[in-house]
Amino acid sequence: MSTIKLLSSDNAELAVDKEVAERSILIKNMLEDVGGDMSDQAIPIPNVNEAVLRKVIEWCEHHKSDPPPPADEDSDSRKKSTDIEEWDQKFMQVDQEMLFEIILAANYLDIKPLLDVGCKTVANMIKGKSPEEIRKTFNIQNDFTPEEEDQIRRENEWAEE
Amino acid sequence: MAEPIFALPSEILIEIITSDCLSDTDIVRLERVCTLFRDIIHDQIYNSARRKYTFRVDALSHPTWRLARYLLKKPQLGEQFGEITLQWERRVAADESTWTTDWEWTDEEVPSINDICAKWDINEETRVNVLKGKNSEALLPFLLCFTPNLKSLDLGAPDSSIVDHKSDDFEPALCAISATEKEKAELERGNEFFLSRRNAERYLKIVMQYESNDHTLFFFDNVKYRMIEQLEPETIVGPRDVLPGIANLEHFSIGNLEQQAYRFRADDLYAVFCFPKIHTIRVFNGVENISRYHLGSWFEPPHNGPSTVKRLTLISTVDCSPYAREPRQPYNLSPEYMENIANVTGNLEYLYIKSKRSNAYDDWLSPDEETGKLFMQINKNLDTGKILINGAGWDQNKMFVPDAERRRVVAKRQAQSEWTQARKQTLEMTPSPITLLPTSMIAYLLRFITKSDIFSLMLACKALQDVCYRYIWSGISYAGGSQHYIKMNKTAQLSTILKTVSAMGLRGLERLELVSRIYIERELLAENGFSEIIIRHIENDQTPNLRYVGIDLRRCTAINNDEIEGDSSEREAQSTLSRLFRTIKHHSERKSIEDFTLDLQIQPYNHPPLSLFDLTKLNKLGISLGSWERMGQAISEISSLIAILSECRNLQHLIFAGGGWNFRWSDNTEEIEEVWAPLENLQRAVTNLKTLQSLSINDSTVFHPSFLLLPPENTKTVKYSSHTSASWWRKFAKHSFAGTERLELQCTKLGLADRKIIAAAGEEMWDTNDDIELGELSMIGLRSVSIARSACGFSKAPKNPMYPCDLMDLLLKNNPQLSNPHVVREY
Repeated sequence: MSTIKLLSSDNAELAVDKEVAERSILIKNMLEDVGGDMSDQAIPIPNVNEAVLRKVIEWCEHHKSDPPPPADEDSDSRKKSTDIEEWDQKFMQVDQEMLFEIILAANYLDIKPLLDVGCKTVANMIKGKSPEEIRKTFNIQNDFTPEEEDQIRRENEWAEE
Repeated sequence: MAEPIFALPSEILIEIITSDCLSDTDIVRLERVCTLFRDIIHDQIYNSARRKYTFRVDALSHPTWRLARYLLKKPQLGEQFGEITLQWERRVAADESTWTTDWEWTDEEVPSINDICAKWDINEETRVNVLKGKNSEALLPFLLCFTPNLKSLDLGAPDSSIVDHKSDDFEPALCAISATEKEKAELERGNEFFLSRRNAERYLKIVMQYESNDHTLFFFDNVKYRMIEQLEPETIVGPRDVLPGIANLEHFSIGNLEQQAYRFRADDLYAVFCFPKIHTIRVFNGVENISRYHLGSWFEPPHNGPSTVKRLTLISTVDCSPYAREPRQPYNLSPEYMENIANVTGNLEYLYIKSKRSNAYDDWLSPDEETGKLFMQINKNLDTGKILINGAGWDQNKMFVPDAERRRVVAKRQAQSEWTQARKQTLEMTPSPITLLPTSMIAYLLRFITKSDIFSLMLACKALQDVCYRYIWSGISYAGGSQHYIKMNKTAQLSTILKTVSAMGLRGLERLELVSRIYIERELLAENGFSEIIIRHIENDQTPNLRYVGIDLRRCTAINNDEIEGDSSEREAQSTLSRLFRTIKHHSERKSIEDFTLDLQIQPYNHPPLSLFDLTKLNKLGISLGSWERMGQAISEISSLIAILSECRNLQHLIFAGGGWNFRWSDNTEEIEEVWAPLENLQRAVTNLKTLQSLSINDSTVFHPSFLLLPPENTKTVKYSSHTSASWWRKFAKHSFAGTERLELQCTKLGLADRKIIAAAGEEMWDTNDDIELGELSMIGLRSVSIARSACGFSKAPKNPMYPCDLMDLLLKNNPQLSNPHVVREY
């Protein structure tokens, strides 16, 4: 199996199976464009640092033989489940900074299933919490004045189920 | 070296020791710590008459009886008390260990008690109970004879069972002392002598302890401002001397917010208004609603002018009336009762009343405003800013507002927050890691959470507010729809919202969903209803971002037909609906295919008004076929379907959702063969859908058991869920399905009627799973296969799954990339 090299933003070179790297649609398209052999030259991934890239590769390794995501038949039925399989749950047990870095990397590298896992992880951190609890969870500073907060509440009271 | 606490300046120490946090027991303990503390306590508390006392009613260790004994010896101690709080601890009938024993006075004490009772006119029943050592709440009026400096009295939340023993208590009490069944039966008959000797004595104890006394709280028995015999007004007695503990009382409180408190009569409360120096009255629950009629002449201003009370709080969150259906319900105090209260006041400066079931928003015509005005009329010093009645009050401009309480709370918090903000500016906060994500990513993330979570997130900080707000407003659904649409089940809602919500409103609208109920509900189509609002916004270009519309047209019949059946209102409704569709069409025609998507669900049988739509934008078409009973129906419906498909130049998803093929029971199998010609035309129309991404046959009764509807080339996902014949499978095996990556199958055994047709046509028969071998399969390039096999344990699985025996082997042979267990899913 052929191996390719990836170059992280902090200039670390990581060797990875081509099949694994191709979980990234960005890399896959890139390889297709150059027409195959990239074994001698590292592909620069300027937006992702080594630590994050290693995590992403770890995920791709584990999921290298997953089926393609279902055709986008229901792209507009937005009901999504937040169930995450066990391995992914463990994988996502990282600090928040890393979590968001992974999400950004998945977005940049165009790895939709990883992006979804990341988003679901964050979604699960939001689920069922009050605004104050959400602030605590993400270390967000409340920059609303109580008047503004009350205004928003009133405007949206009807929207609550 | 001195301990740090002694380094505190003495005024700070005094502040700490006299703070409200310390209870009377804490103070007594603190007094024994050192001379400094003792001196402060004596000077600042005891000698300043600021001593607090918690009266634990019926406490097992008789603490208050002991205090009373001490007071008899040294009455000047009573002058130290400034505050008494009652705490109710009462015996539980079934638990003997909670039974308080009677207190016994010495022979010397009895005459002094009698003297005091006579001096202060303590009522007879109270005196008897004090002497018997029973009902320790009877001690409260007695204590009040010794406390001339008392400023504050909190009666706590008396439990009505404490005050009136119920006969229900008897049995558990007997069980507690383990009387036999026979004894209990005899007791019920009133035969006390039947008790065994062992229990006789204890039985007596129960009788003594649970003997019912009909009285109100002893406290109220002894504070009547004047005695009135209702039937003979000339016998009015009084005013009487008030107890020393009442003479200087400024603060009175009864009840609490949580419990269903003891019910005291409104005239009891009246007595409190008459206390000579009363300043604050706080009543939580428990006032029995007595109408003016019942009150008779009782509620008159006190003889020496209106009550001195300045602050009045009256909260009734629990229904304490004897007729309460649901005791947790708040209780409405009647306007008459309020009026009675108002009439005895005159010096109020603060008024807070809460006694209503529904919140203020529901009831704009409440008498709250009238009640408030009445109080203001009677109390000249009562400022509009100091009144709250059921959340309502007056704003700075002296305008009555139903949510004044909420506004005041917000204003108060606002002031606090500004105060803290001013001091926090120098502090640097580390930004939250979530701010790493751009808004587009946050918007993506919102798909995974529910609307109420999005709402909470919106309130977390400003950076998140906008993206959440846009997201919530981006999808509107009329009646139903998925969770991320705002559901407009009531048109009134939408028009109200559009009036009140900021200008963003529909400007952010991206997705609009109309499900089948739109044709039933008049409200949707009414003048100024949902449709009109949407039409107006689209026409005025106020929905620039609308890029998806999904409409269920299945129940929409012949809307573009001139001869609309039904009455005039129906015609009007249909014309509104067609205007709505035309407006959407006009909007979509101005957009490119990339910028606008249309999904429709139709029944070709009903002649859906497709001319009202821009079919070049049609992305997904769901088709429900009629239930064919005659060949004519089948042929005509298939041909109208073909006509529709020929216009869908950019269709990506085609779904057959059921119906069709109901006439297979027909004996005329020759007639059935006539369906083949139209089906072949249909196949040609489908093959022409060059942009198709997915084809889904979702119901087993569609078409003909041997008709395999093939997808055009490069259809990525193909799903068949049907009764399939052997010849169907032969066709399936031969076709290459070029470009298809996902295959889903839910194939089942043929029914009897189908088999009859197959037999008549002379086709190959197929009875069990093993009967058919395909031998070869042309399908290659698959990346995912899902085959429904087992009938059990999976609700979606078909009842009688049946596949050619070598199907799976051939699929794996042709598509070696499928060997991973993730890919082939058999359930």
